[in-house]
Amino acid sequence: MIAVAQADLRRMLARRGLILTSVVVPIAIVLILTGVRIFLHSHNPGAHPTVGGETLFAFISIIGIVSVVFGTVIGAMFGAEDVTSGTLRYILLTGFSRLRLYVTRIPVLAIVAVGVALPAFVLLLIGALALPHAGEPGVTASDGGRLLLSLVLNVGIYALIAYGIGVAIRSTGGAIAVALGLNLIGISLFNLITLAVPGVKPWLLDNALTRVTDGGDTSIAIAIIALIVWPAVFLAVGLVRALRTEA
Amino acid sequence: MADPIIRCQGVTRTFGNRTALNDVTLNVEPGRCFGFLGPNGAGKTTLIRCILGLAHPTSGTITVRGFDIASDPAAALARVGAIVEEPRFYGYLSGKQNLELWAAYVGDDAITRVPALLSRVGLDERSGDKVSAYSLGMRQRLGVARALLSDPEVLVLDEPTNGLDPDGVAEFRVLIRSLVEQDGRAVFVSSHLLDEIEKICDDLAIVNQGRVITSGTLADLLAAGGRELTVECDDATRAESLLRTLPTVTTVTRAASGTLSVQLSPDSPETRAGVNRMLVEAGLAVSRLEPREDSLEERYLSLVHEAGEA
Repeated sequence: MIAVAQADLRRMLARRGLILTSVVVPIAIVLILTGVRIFLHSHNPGAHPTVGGETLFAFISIIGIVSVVFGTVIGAMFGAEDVTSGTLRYILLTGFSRLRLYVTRIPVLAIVAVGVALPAFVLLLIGALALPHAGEPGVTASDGGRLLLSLVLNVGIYALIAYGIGVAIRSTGGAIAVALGLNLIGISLFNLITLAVPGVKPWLLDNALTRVTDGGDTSIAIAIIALIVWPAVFLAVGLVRALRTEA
Repeated sequence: MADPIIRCQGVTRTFGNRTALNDVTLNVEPGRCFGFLGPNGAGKTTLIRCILGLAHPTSGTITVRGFDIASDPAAALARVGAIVEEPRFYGYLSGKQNLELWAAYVGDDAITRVPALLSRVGLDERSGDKVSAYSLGMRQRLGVARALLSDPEVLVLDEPTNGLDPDGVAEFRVLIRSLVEQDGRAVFVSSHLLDEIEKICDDLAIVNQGRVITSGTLADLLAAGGRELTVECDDATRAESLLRTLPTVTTVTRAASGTLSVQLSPDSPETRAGVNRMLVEAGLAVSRLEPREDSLEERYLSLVHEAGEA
Protein backbone atom coordinates (compact mmCIF):
# COMPACT_ATOMS: atom_id res chain seq x y z
CA MET A 1 0.00 0.00 0.00
CA ILE A 2 2.94 2.30 0.63
CA ALA A 3 4.11 1.92 -2.97
CA VAL A 4 0.62 2.78 -4.17
CA ALA A 5 0.43 5.77 -1.82
CA GLN A 6 3.78 7.02 -3.09
CA ALA A 7 2.70 6.53 -6.71
CA ASP A 8 -0.58 8.36 -6.06
CA LEU A 9 1.30 11.17 -4.33
CA ARG A 10 3.53 11.56 -7.38
CA ARG A 11 0.43 11.55 -9.57
CA MET A 12 -1.20 14.29 -7.53
CA LEU A 13 1.93 16.41 -7.64
CA ALA A 14 2.11 15.92 -11.41
CA ARG A 15 -0.98 18.10 -11.73
CA ARG A 16 1.35 21.02 -11.87
CA GLY A 17 -1.21 23.64 -12.79
CA LEU A 18 -3.45 22.91 -9.82
CA ILE A 19 -0.63 22.33 -7.36
CA LEU A 20 1.35 25.41 -8.39
CA THR A 21 -1.76 27.57 -8.27
CA SER A 22 -2.60 26.20 -4.83
CA VAL A 23 0.88 27.09 -3.61
CA VAL A 24 1.45 30.34 -5.47
CA VAL A 25 -1.87 32.12 -4.86
CA PRO A 26 -1.58 32.09 -1.02
CA ILE A 27 2.09 33.09 -1.33
CA ALA A 28 1.13 35.93 -3.65
CA ILE A 29 -1.45 37.11 -1.11
CA VAL A 30 1.21 37.08 1.62
CA LEU A 31 3.63 39.02 -0.57
CA ILE A 32 1.01 41.61 -1.54
CA LEU A 33 -0.09 42.13 2.05
CA THR A 34 3.49 42.39 3.25
CA GLY A 35 4.36 44.72 0.37
CA VAL A 36 1.47 47.03 1.25
CA ARG A 37 2.60 47.16 4.87
CA ILE A 38 6.21 47.82 3.87
CA PHE A 39 5.04 50.59 1.54
CA LEU A 40 2.93 52.22 4.25
CA HIS A 41 5.73 51.91 6.77
CA SER A 42 8.37 53.39 4.48
CA HIS A 43 6.19 56.37 3.54
CA ASN A 44 4.91 57.17 6.99
CA PRO A 45 6.75 55.27 9.72
CA GLY A 46 5.07 57.36 12.39
CA ALA A 47 1.57 56.32 11.41
CA HIS A 48 2.62 52.78 10.52
CA PRO A 49 5.46 51.86 12.87
CA THR A 50 5.06 48.14 12.42
CA VAL A 51 5.28 45.84 9.42
CA GLY A 52 5.54 42.38 10.91
CA GLY A 53 4.49 41.02 14.28
CA GLU A 54 0.96 39.97 15.12
CA THR A 55 -0.47 42.60 12.82
CA LEU A 56 0.96 40.85 9.79
CA PHE A 57 0.38 37.37 11.19
CA ALA A 58 -3.30 38.14 11.63
CA PHE A 59 -3.65 37.82 7.90
CA ILE A 60 -3.36 34.08 8.38
CA SER A 61 -7.17 34.01 8.30
CA ILE A 62 -7.12 35.07 4.65
CA ILE A 63 -4.51 32.41 3.86
CA GLY A 64 -6.69 29.92 5.71
CA ILE A 65 -9.77 30.71 3.62
CA VAL A 66 -7.86 30.51 0.34
CA SER A 67 -6.14 27.29 1.36
CA VAL A 68 -9.44 25.69 2.37
CA VAL A 69 -10.80 26.52 -1.08
CA PHE A 70 -7.81 24.91 -2.77
CA GLY A 71 -7.92 21.95 -0.39
CA THR A 72 -11.57 21.49 -1.30
CA VAL A 73 -10.80 21.59 -5.01
CA ILE A 74 -7.98 19.08 -4.63
CA GLY A 75 -10.10 16.78 -2.48
CA ALA A 76 -13.08 16.89 -4.84
CA MET A 77 -10.90 16.23 -7.86
CA PHE A 78 -9.07 13.41 -6.12
CA GLY A 79 -12.36 11.79 -5.21
CA ALA A 80 -14.16 12.10 -8.54
CA GLU A 81 -11.34 11.85 -11.05
CA ASP A 82 -11.11 8.10 -11.55
CA VAL A 83 -14.79 7.71 -12.32
CA THR A 84 -15.01 10.78 -14.53
CA SER A 85 -11.82 9.92 -16.43
CA GLY A 86 -12.64 6.22 -16.80
CA THR A 87 -9.44 5.06 -15.09
CA LEU A 88 -11.19 3.39 -12.15
CA ARG A 89 -11.95 0.19 -14.06
CA TYR A 90 -8.31 -0.20 -15.02
CA ILE A 91 -7.21 0.19 -11.41
CA LEU A 92 -9.75 -2.42 -10.31
CA LEU A 93 -8.60 -4.77 -13.07
CA THR A 94 -5.20 -4.92 -11.37
CA GLY A 95 -6.94 -6.67 -8.49
CA PHE A 96 -6.40 -3.69 -6.15
CA SER A 97 -9.54 -3.57 -4.03
CA ARG A 98 -11.92 -0.64 -3.90
CA LEU A 99 -11.56 -0.42 -0.12
CA ARG A 100 -7.76 -0.33 -0.21
CA LEU A 101 -7.85 2.24 -2.98
CA TYR A 102 -10.22 4.47 -1.06
CA VAL A 103 -8.35 4.20 2.24
CA THR A 104 -4.88 4.56 0.71
CA ARG A 105 -5.80 7.88 -0.81
CA ILE A 106 -6.95 9.53 2.40
CA PRO A 107 -3.47 10.20 3.85
CA VAL A 108 -2.16 11.08 0.38
CA LEU A 109 -4.85 13.72 0.02
CA ALA A 110 -4.23 15.10 3.50
CA ILE A 111 -0.50 15.42 2.77
CA VAL A 112 -1.07 17.20 -0.53
CA ALA A 113 -3.85 19.53 0.66
CA VAL A 114 -2.00 20.59 3.81
CA GLY A 115 1.35 20.61 2.04
CA VAL A 116 0.30 23.18 -0.54
CA ALA A 117 -0.91 25.51 2.25
CA LEU A 118 2.28 25.41 4.30
CA PRO A 119 4.66 27.53 2.16
CA ALA A 120 2.44 30.62 2.52
CA PHE A 121 2.11 29.98 6.25
CA VAL A 122 5.87 29.69 6.67
CA LEU A 123 6.45 32.82 4.59
CA LEU A 124 3.92 34.76 6.65
CA LEU A 125 5.51 33.52 9.87
CA ILE A 126 8.99 34.54 8.70
CA GLY A 127 7.67 37.97 7.69
CA ALA A 128 5.97 38.44 11.04
CA LEU A 129 9.12 37.50 12.94
CA ALA A 130 11.71 39.23 10.78
CA LEU A 131 10.05 42.52 9.78
CA PRO A 132 10.00 45.42 12.23
CA HIS A 133 7.13 45.43 14.67
CA ALA A 134 8.04 48.22 17.09
CA GLY A 135 5.32 48.84 19.64
CA GLU A 136 3.48 45.65 18.63
CA PRO A 137 3.65 42.32 20.39
CA GLY A 138 5.71 39.74 18.53
CA VAL A 139 4.53 36.35 17.37
CA THR A 140 5.10 33.70 20.00
CA ALA A 141 5.70 30.00 19.45
CA SER A 142 2.29 29.40 20.98
CA ASP A 143 0.67 31.70 18.41
CA GLY A 144 2.51 30.01 15.59
CA GLY A 145 1.59 26.53 16.78
CA ARG A 146 -2.05 27.40 17.37
CA LEU A 147 -2.51 28.97 13.95
CA LEU A 148 -0.60 26.17 12.24
CA LEU A 149 -2.93 23.67 13.91
CA SER A 150 -5.91 25.72 12.79
CA LEU A 151 -4.67 25.81 9.20
CA VAL A 152 -3.89 22.10 9.11
CA LEU A 153 -7.23 21.11 10.61
CA ASN A 154 -9.29 23.45 8.43
CA VAL A 155 -7.60 22.51 5.18
CA GLY A 156 -7.30 18.82 6.00
CA ILE A 157 -10.87 18.34 7.18
CA TYR A 158 -12.46 20.22 4.30
CA ALA A 159 -10.25 18.39 1.81
CA LEU A 160 -11.40 15.04 3.24
CA ILE A 161 -15.02 16.13 3.21
CA ALA A 162 -14.64 17.16 -0.43
CA TYR A 163 -13.00 13.81 -1.18
CA GLY A 164 -15.93 11.90 0.28
CA ILE A 165 -18.39 14.08 -1.63
CA GLY A 166 -16.34 13.70 -4.83
CA VAL A 167 -16.46 9.92 -4.62
CA ALA A 168 -20.12 9.96 -3.70
CA ILE A 169 -21.41 12.21 -6.46
CA ARG A 170 -18.74 11.30 -9.03
CA SER A 171 -18.44 14.84 -10.36
CA THR A 172 -15.50 17.12 -9.68
CA GLY A 173 -17.43 20.33 -10.27
CA GLY A 174 -20.42 19.12 -8.30
CA ALA A 175 -18.24 18.01 -5.41
CA ILE A 176 -16.45 21.36 -5.32
CA ALA A 177 -19.78 23.18 -5.30
CA VAL A 178 -21.22 21.03 -2.52
CA ALA A 179 -18.08 21.12 -0.37
CA LEU A 180 -17.58 24.86 -0.77
CA GLY A 181 -21.30 25.39 -0.20
CA LEU A 182 -21.01 23.49 3.04
CA ASN A 183 -18.00 25.58 4.00
CA LEU A 184 -19.29 28.99 2.98
CA ILE A 185 -23.08 28.78 3.30
CA GLY A 186 -23.50 25.80 5.58
CA ILE A 187 -21.91 27.63 8.49
CA SER A 188 -24.59 30.30 8.42
CA LEU A 189 -27.36 27.74 8.07
CA PHE A 190 -26.04 25.66 10.94
CA ASN A 191 -25.72 28.76 13.08
CA LEU A 192 -29.41 29.41 12.46
CA ILE A 193 -30.11 25.93 13.78
CA THR A 194 -28.19 26.71 16.95
CA LEU A 195 -30.59 29.58 17.62
CA ALA A 196 -33.38 27.05 17.86
CA VAL A 197 -31.36 24.24 19.37
CA PRO A 198 -28.43 25.74 21.30
CA GLY A 199 -27.27 22.31 22.42
CA VAL A 200 -25.94 21.41 18.99
CA LYS A 201 -23.56 24.37 18.83
CA PRO A 202 -20.48 22.56 20.20
CA TRP A 203 -20.99 19.85 17.56
CA LEU A 204 -20.84 22.22 14.61
CA LEU A 205 -17.64 21.86 12.64
CA ASP A 206 -16.50 25.48 12.74
CA ASN A 207 -17.27 25.82 16.42
CA ALA A 208 -15.31 22.67 17.10
CA LEU A 209 -12.38 23.94 15.05
CA THR A 210 -12.43 27.22 16.96
CA ARG A 211 -12.69 25.43 20.29
CA VAL A 212 -9.68 23.19 19.56
CA THR A 213 -7.42 25.95 18.26
CA ASP A 214 -8.55 29.08 20.11
CA GLY A 215 -10.04 27.70 23.29
CA GLY A 216 -13.48 28.39 24.71
CA ASP A 217 -15.83 27.30 27.44
CA THR A 218 -17.42 24.34 25.67
CA SER A 219 -16.21 20.77 26.07
CA ILE A 220 -12.89 20.06 24.34
CA ALA A 221 -13.84 16.37 24.17
CA ILE A 222 -16.99 17.18 22.20
CA ALA A 223 -14.96 19.42 19.90
CA ILE A 224 -12.42 16.67 19.19
CA ILE A 225 -15.18 14.12 18.59
CA ALA A 226 -16.92 16.57 16.26
CA LEU A 227 -13.70 17.06 14.29
CA ILE A 228 -13.48 13.32 13.80
CA VAL A 229 -17.16 12.70 13.11
CA TRP A 230 -17.69 15.40 10.49
CA PRO A 231 -15.12 14.17 7.95
CA ALA A 232 -15.86 10.56 8.95
CA VAL A 233 -19.51 10.93 7.95
CA PHE A 234 -18.63 12.25 4.49
CA LEU A 235 -15.86 9.68 4.06
CA ALA A 236 -18.30 6.93 5.01
CA VAL A 237 -20.81 8.17 2.42
CA GLY A 238 -18.01 8.20 -0.14
CA LEU A 239 -16.90 4.71 0.86
CA VAL A 240 -20.39 3.27 0.45
CA ARG A 241 -20.51 4.70 -3.06
CA ALA A 242 -16.93 3.63 -3.82
CA LEU A 243 -17.76 0.03 -2.98
CA ARG A 244 -20.84 0.07 -5.22
CA THR A 245 -19.88 2.22 -8.16
CA GLU A 246 -19.89 0.28 -11.42
CA ALA A 247 -16.57 1.03 -13.07
CA MET B 1 -6.98 -30.27 -24.29
CA ALA B 2 -6.03 -27.83 -21.51
CA ASP B 3 -8.72 -26.40 -19.26
CA PRO B 4 -10.32 -23.28 -20.72
CA ILE B 5 -8.76 -20.10 -19.43
CA ILE B 6 -12.13 -18.37 -19.64
CA ARG B 7 -15.29 -20.40 -19.18
CA CYS B 8 -18.73 -18.80 -19.46
CA GLN B 9 -21.61 -21.07 -18.55
CA GLY B 10 -25.18 -20.00 -19.17
CA VAL B 11 -24.43 -16.32 -18.62
CA THR B 12 -27.48 -14.09 -18.70
CA ARG B 13 -27.53 -10.40 -17.94
CA THR B 14 -30.66 -8.30 -17.97
CA PHE B 15 -31.18 -4.58 -17.60
CA GLY B 16 -34.79 -4.12 -16.59
CA ASN B 17 -36.84 -5.73 -19.36
CA ARG B 18 -33.91 -5.85 -21.79
CA THR B 19 -31.81 -8.99 -22.03
CA ALA B 20 -28.27 -7.99 -22.95
CA LEU B 21 -26.86 -11.53 -22.64
CA ASN B 22 -28.98 -14.62 -23.05
CA ASP B 23 -27.60 -17.94 -21.81
CA VAL B 24 -24.11 -17.38 -23.21
CA THR B 25 -21.83 -20.40 -23.00
CA LEU B 26 -18.32 -20.35 -24.43
CA ASN B 27 -14.79 -21.43 -23.63
CA VAL B 28 -11.53 -19.67 -24.42
CA GLU B 29 -8.57 -22.04 -24.68
CA PRO B 30 -5.03 -21.11 -23.58
CA GLY B 31 -2.69 -19.95 -26.34
CA ARG B 32 -5.50 -19.16 -28.77
CA CYS B 33 -6.99 -15.96 -30.07
CA PHE B 34 -10.74 -16.02 -29.58
CA GLY B 35 -12.90 -13.58 -31.50
CA PHE B 36 -16.25 -12.46 -30.14
CA LEU B 37 -18.05 -11.13 -33.15
CA GLY B 38 -21.34 -9.35 -33.32
CA PRO B 39 -23.12 -6.21 -34.43
CA ASN B 40 -23.17 -3.09 -32.29
CA GLY B 41 -25.37 -3.58 -29.26
CA ALA B 42 -25.18 -7.37 -29.47
CA GLY B 43 -23.84 -7.68 -25.93
CA LYS B 44 -20.10 -7.92 -26.56
CA THR B 45 -19.02 -5.27 -24.07
CA THR B 46 -21.52 -6.51 -21.50
CA LEU B 47 -19.99 -9.99 -21.62
CA ILE B 48 -16.48 -8.54 -21.35
CA ARG B 49 -17.49 -6.49 -18.34
CA CYS B 50 -18.94 -9.61 -16.75
CA ILE B 51 -15.80 -11.63 -17.52
CA LEU B 52 -13.70 -8.94 -15.84
CA GLY B 53 -15.93 -8.62 -12.80
CA LEU B 54 -16.89 -5.05 -13.67
CA ALA B 55 -20.52 -6.11 -13.99
CA HIS B 56 -22.29 -9.13 -12.62
CA PRO B 57 -24.37 -11.67 -14.54
CA THR B 58 -28.00 -11.99 -13.58
CA SER B 59 -27.47 -15.76 -13.78
CA GLY B 60 -24.77 -18.16 -14.92
CA THR B 61 -21.14 -18.54 -13.93
CA ILE B 62 -17.86 -17.25 -15.27
CA THR B 63 -14.48 -18.65 -14.33
CA VAL B 64 -11.19 -17.06 -15.31
CA ARG B 65 -8.02 -19.11 -14.84
CA GLY B 66 -10.16 -21.57 -12.92
CA PHE B 67 -11.35 -19.00 -10.39
CA ASP B 68 -14.93 -17.84 -10.11
CA ILE B 69 -14.92 -14.15 -11.00
CA ALA B 70 -17.83 -13.43 -8.66
CA SER B 71 -16.45 -15.10 -5.53
CA ASP B 72 -12.70 -14.69 -6.04
CA PRO B 73 -12.08 -11.75 -8.36
CA ALA B 74 -8.56 -11.02 -7.11
CA ALA B 75 -7.32 -14.52 -7.95
CA ALA B 76 -9.22 -14.58 -11.23
CA LEU B 77 -7.81 -11.25 -12.38
CA ALA B 78 -4.29 -11.71 -11.02
CA ARG B 79 -2.92 -12.48 -14.46
CA VAL B 80 -5.47 -10.90 -16.74
CA GLY B 81 -4.91 -7.80 -18.85
CA ALA B 82 -7.69 -5.88 -20.51
CA ILE B 83 -8.83 -2.95 -22.54
CA VAL B 84 -12.53 -2.23 -22.05
CA GLU B 85 -14.26 0.07 -24.52
CA GLU B 86 -11.24 2.35 -24.78
CA PRO B 87 -7.98 2.70 -22.91
CA ARG B 88 -8.16 5.53 -20.37
CA PHE B 89 -5.15 7.16 -18.74
CA TYR B 90 -4.19 10.21 -16.73
CA GLY B 91 -3.58 12.68 -19.54
CA TYR B 92 -1.31 14.88 -17.45
CA LEU B 93 1.14 12.03 -16.87
CA SER B 94 3.55 10.70 -19.46
CA GLY B 95 3.12 7.23 -20.90
CA LYS B 96 5.94 5.97 -18.72
CA GLN B 97 4.55 7.62 -15.58
CA ASN B 98 1.16 6.08 -16.27
CA LEU B 99 2.64 2.61 -16.57
CA GLU B 100 4.70 3.11 -13.41
CA LEU B 101 1.55 4.15 -11.56
CA TRP B 102 -0.33 1.05 -12.68
CA ALA B 103 2.71 -1.07 -11.92
CA ALA B 104 2.37 0.09 -8.31
CA TYR B 105 -1.23 -1.14 -8.29
CA VAL B 106 -0.22 -4.45 -9.85
CA GLY B 107 2.60 -4.86 -7.33
CA ASP B 108 5.27 -7.56 -7.42
CA ASP B 109 7.96 -6.74 -9.96
CA ALA B 110 5.65 -5.10 -12.50
CA ILE B 111 7.68 -1.89 -12.34
CA THR B 112 10.67 -3.72 -13.82
CA ARG B 113 8.65 -4.63 -16.91
CA VAL B 114 7.77 -1.04 -17.82
CA PRO B 115 10.76 -0.23 -20.10
CA ALA B 116 10.48 -3.51 -22.01
CA LEU B 117 6.74 -3.11 -22.48
CA LEU B 118 7.10 0.43 -23.77
CA SER B 119 9.63 -0.87 -26.24
CA ARG B 120 7.44 -3.80 -27.25
CA VAL B 121 4.50 -1.58 -28.15
CA GLY B 122 6.78 0.87 -29.94
CA LEU B 123 6.38 3.75 -27.53
CA ASP B 124 9.85 3.94 -25.99
CA GLU B 125 10.74 7.10 -27.89
CA ARG B 126 7.52 8.86 -26.89
CA SER B 127 7.28 7.45 -23.38
CA GLY B 128 8.19 10.82 -21.84
CA ASP B 129 5.39 12.68 -23.63
CA LYS B 130 2.15 13.39 -21.84
CA VAL B 131 -0.60 10.96 -22.77
CA SER B 132 -2.87 13.91 -23.59
CA ALA B 133 -0.62 14.42 -26.63
CA TYR B 134 -0.91 10.79 -27.78
CA SER B 135 -2.91 9.74 -30.81
CA LEU B 136 -5.65 7.14 -30.37
CA GLY B 137 -3.37 4.49 -31.84
CA MET B 138 -0.63 5.34 -29.33
CA ARG B 139 -3.14 5.13 -26.49
CA GLN B 140 -4.29 1.75 -27.72
CA ARG B 141 -0.70 0.53 -27.74
CA LEU B 142 -0.11 2.01 -24.30
CA GLY B 143 -3.29 0.22 -23.24
CA VAL B 144 -1.82 -3.06 -24.39
CA ALA B 145 1.40 -2.31 -22.52
CA ARG B 146 -0.64 -1.65 -19.37
CA ALA B 147 -2.60 -4.86 -19.95
CA LEU B 148 0.70 -6.75 -20.10
CA LEU B 149 2.02 -5.34 -16.80
CA SER B 150 0.77 -8.30 -14.82
CA ASP B 151 2.38 -10.72 -17.31
CA PRO B 152 -1.13 -11.96 -18.07
CA GLU B 153 -2.09 -15.42 -19.22
CA VAL B 154 -5.05 -13.91 -21.01
CA LEU B 155 -5.80 -10.53 -22.55
CA VAL B 156 -9.34 -9.30 -22.98
CA LEU B 157 -9.61 -6.61 -25.61
CA ASP B 158 -12.85 -4.83 -26.40
CA GLU B 159 -12.96 -3.46 -29.94
CA PRO B 160 -9.21 -2.77 -29.86
CA THR B 161 -8.92 -1.44 -33.40
CA ASN B 162 -11.75 1.07 -33.15
CA GLY B 163 -10.65 4.41 -34.51
CA LEU B 164 -7.27 3.23 -35.75
CA ASP B 165 -6.03 4.12 -39.23
CA PRO B 166 -5.08 1.26 -41.60
CA ASP B 167 -1.44 1.35 -40.53
CA GLY B 168 -2.45 1.27 -36.89
CA VAL B 169 -4.79 -1.65 -37.51
CA ALA B 170 -2.03 -3.59 -39.28
CA GLU B 171 0.45 -2.88 -36.45
CA PHE B 172 -2.11 -3.92 -33.89
CA ARG B 173 -2.81 -7.16 -35.73
CA VAL B 174 0.89 -8.05 -35.71
CA LEU B 175 1.08 -7.22 -32.00
CA ILE B 176 -1.91 -9.42 -31.13
CA ARG B 177 -0.64 -12.37 -33.14
CA SER B 178 2.79 -12.05 -31.50
CA LEU B 179 1.14 -12.22 -28.08
CA VAL B 180 -0.50 -15.48 -29.11
CA GLU B 181 2.22 -17.10 -31.20
CA GLN B 182 5.38 -15.92 -29.43
CA ASP B 183 4.17 -15.60 -25.84
CA GLY B 184 1.54 -18.34 -25.87
CA ARG B 185 -1.02 -16.05 -24.26
CA ALA B 186 -4.75 -16.35 -24.83
CA VAL B 187 -6.43 -13.31 -26.32
CA PHE B 188 -10.16 -12.69 -26.19
CA VAL B 189 -11.02 -9.95 -28.62
CA SER B 190 -14.43 -8.51 -29.38
CA SER B 191 -15.13 -6.75 -32.61
CA HIS B 192 -17.76 -5.99 -35.18
CA LEU B 193 -15.03 -5.92 -37.85
CA LEU B 194 -15.24 -9.20 -39.74
CA ASP B 195 -11.99 -8.74 -41.59
CA GLU B 196 -10.14 -8.09 -38.37
CA ILE B 197 -11.47 -11.19 -36.66
CA GLU B 198 -10.76 -13.34 -39.71
CA LYS B 199 -7.13 -12.20 -39.75
CA ILE B 200 -6.23 -12.53 -36.09
CA CYS B 201 -8.46 -15.17 -34.53
CA ASP B 202 -8.19 -18.94 -34.27
CA ASP B 203 -11.59 -19.46 -32.70
CA LEU B 204 -14.68 -17.34 -32.62
CA ALA B 205 -18.22 -16.99 -31.44
CA ILE B 206 -20.86 -14.94 -33.19
CA VAL B 207 -23.30 -13.17 -30.95
CA ASN B 208 -26.52 -11.50 -31.91
CA GLN B 209 -29.08 -9.90 -29.59
CA GLY B 210 -27.24 -11.30 -26.60
CA ARG B 211 -27.26 -14.89 -27.77
CA VAL B 212 -24.34 -16.89 -29.16
CA ILE B 213 -25.54 -18.21 -32.48
CA THR B 214 -22.43 -20.21 -33.32
CA SER B 215 -18.96 -20.86 -31.98
CA GLY B 216 -15.96 -22.98 -32.84
CA THR B 217 -12.76 -22.72 -34.79
CA LEU B 218 -12.67 -20.23 -37.62
CA ALA B 219 -11.85 -23.02 -40.08
CA ASP B 220 -14.81 -25.15 -38.98
CA LEU B 221 -17.15 -22.20 -39.11
CA LEU B 222 -16.16 -21.35 -42.65
CA ALA B 223 -16.28 -24.99 -43.74
CA ALA B 224 -19.78 -25.34 -42.35
CA GLY B 225 -21.12 -22.76 -44.74
CA GLY B 226 -22.69 -23.43 -48.10
CA ARG B 227 -20.18 -25.14 -50.40
CA GLU B 228 -19.77 -24.24 -53.99
CA LEU B 229 -17.71 -25.80 -56.73
CA THR B 230 -16.61 -24.13 -59.94
CA VAL B 231 -16.37 -26.71 -62.72
CA GLU B 232 -14.96 -26.42 -66.24
CA CYS B 233 -14.89 -29.37 -68.63
CA ASP B 234 -15.10 -30.18 -72.34
CA ASP B 235 -18.90 -30.65 -72.40
CA ALA B 236 -20.63 -28.24 -70.05
CA THR B 237 -24.16 -29.21 -71.16
CA ARG B 238 -23.65 -32.89 -70.37
CA ALA B 239 -21.83 -32.12 -67.14
CA GLU B 240 -24.72 -29.92 -66.03
CA SER B 241 -27.21 -32.70 -66.69
CA LEU B 242 -25.11 -35.23 -64.78
CA LEU B 243 -24.59 -32.95 -61.81
CA ARG B 244 -28.31 -32.22 -61.55
CA THR B 245 -28.91 -35.91 -60.92
CA LEU B 246 -26.91 -35.79 -57.69
CA PRO B 247 -29.27 -35.39 -54.73
CA THR B 248 -26.73 -33.36 -52.79
CA VAL B 249 -26.45 -30.72 -55.48
CA THR B 250 -28.87 -27.92 -54.82
CA THR B 251 -28.26 -25.76 -57.88
CA VAL B 252 -26.16 -25.77 -61.03
CA THR B 253 -25.76 -22.60 -63.04
CA ARG B 254 -23.90 -22.25 -66.31
CA ALA B 255 -22.16 -19.07 -67.34
CA ALA B 256 -21.92 -17.99 -70.98
CA SER B 257 -18.32 -19.15 -70.94
CA GLY B 258 -19.51 -22.63 -70.05
CA THR B 259 -18.20 -22.49 -66.49
CA LEU B 260 -20.49 -24.28 -64.08
CA SER B 261 -21.22 -23.17 -60.53
CA VAL B 262 -22.35 -26.13 -58.46
CA GLN B 263 -23.92 -25.48 -55.08
CA LEU B 264 -23.72 -28.38 -52.67
CA SER B 265 -25.98 -28.49 -49.68
CA PRO B 266 -24.12 -27.65 -46.40
CA ASP B 267 -24.65 -31.13 -44.95
CA SER B 268 -23.69 -32.83 -48.19
CA PRO B 269 -21.27 -35.73 -47.88
CA GLU B 270 -20.31 -35.16 -51.53
CA THR B 271 -16.65 -34.33 -51.90
CA ARG B 272 -14.76 -32.53 -54.60
CA ALA B 273 -13.09 -35.86 -55.47
CA GLY B 274 -16.48 -37.55 -55.71
CA VAL B 275 -17.79 -34.97 -58.18
CA ASN B 276 -14.58 -35.24 -60.19
CA ARG B 277 -14.78 -39.05 -60.26
CA MET B 278 -18.36 -38.99 -61.51
CA LEU B 279 -17.55 -36.58 -64.33
CA VAL B 280 -14.39 -38.45 -65.36
CA GLU B 281 -16.13 -41.83 -65.26
CA ALA B 282 -18.76 -40.33 -67.58
CA GLY B 283 -15.95 -39.64 -70.05
CA LEU B 284 -15.67 -35.89 -69.50
CA ALA B 285 -12.31 -34.13 -69.44
CA VAL B 286 -12.34 -31.93 -66.32
CA SER B 287 -10.00 -28.94 -66.66
CA ARG B 288 -11.02 -27.06 -63.51
CA LEU B 289 -12.67 -28.07 -60.28
CA GLU B 290 -12.31 -25.44 -57.63
CA PRO B 291 -14.07 -25.31 -54.27
CA ARG B 292 -15.13 -21.95 -52.91
CA GLU B 293 -15.93 -21.62 -49.23
CA ASP B 294 -18.04 -18.82 -47.85
CA SER B 295 -16.08 -15.86 -46.60
CA LEU B 296 -16.52 -14.98 -42.93
CA GLU B 297 -18.63 -12.06 -44.01
CA GLU B 298 -20.99 -14.35 -45.93
CA ARG B 299 -21.17 -16.81 -43.05
CA TYR B 300 -21.70 -14.03 -40.54
CA LEU B 301 -24.46 -12.36 -42.52
CA SER B 302 -26.11 -15.68 -43.18
CA LEU B 303 -26.04 -16.72 -39.53
CA VAL B 304 -27.12 -13.35 -38.18
CA HIS B 305 -30.02 -13.17 -40.63
CA GLU B 306 -31.05 -16.74 -39.87
CA ALA B 307 -30.97 -15.94 -36.16
CA GLY B 308 -32.95 -12.77 -36.74
CA GLU B 309 -35.61 -14.63 -38.71
CA ALA B 310 -35.77 -17.36 -36.09
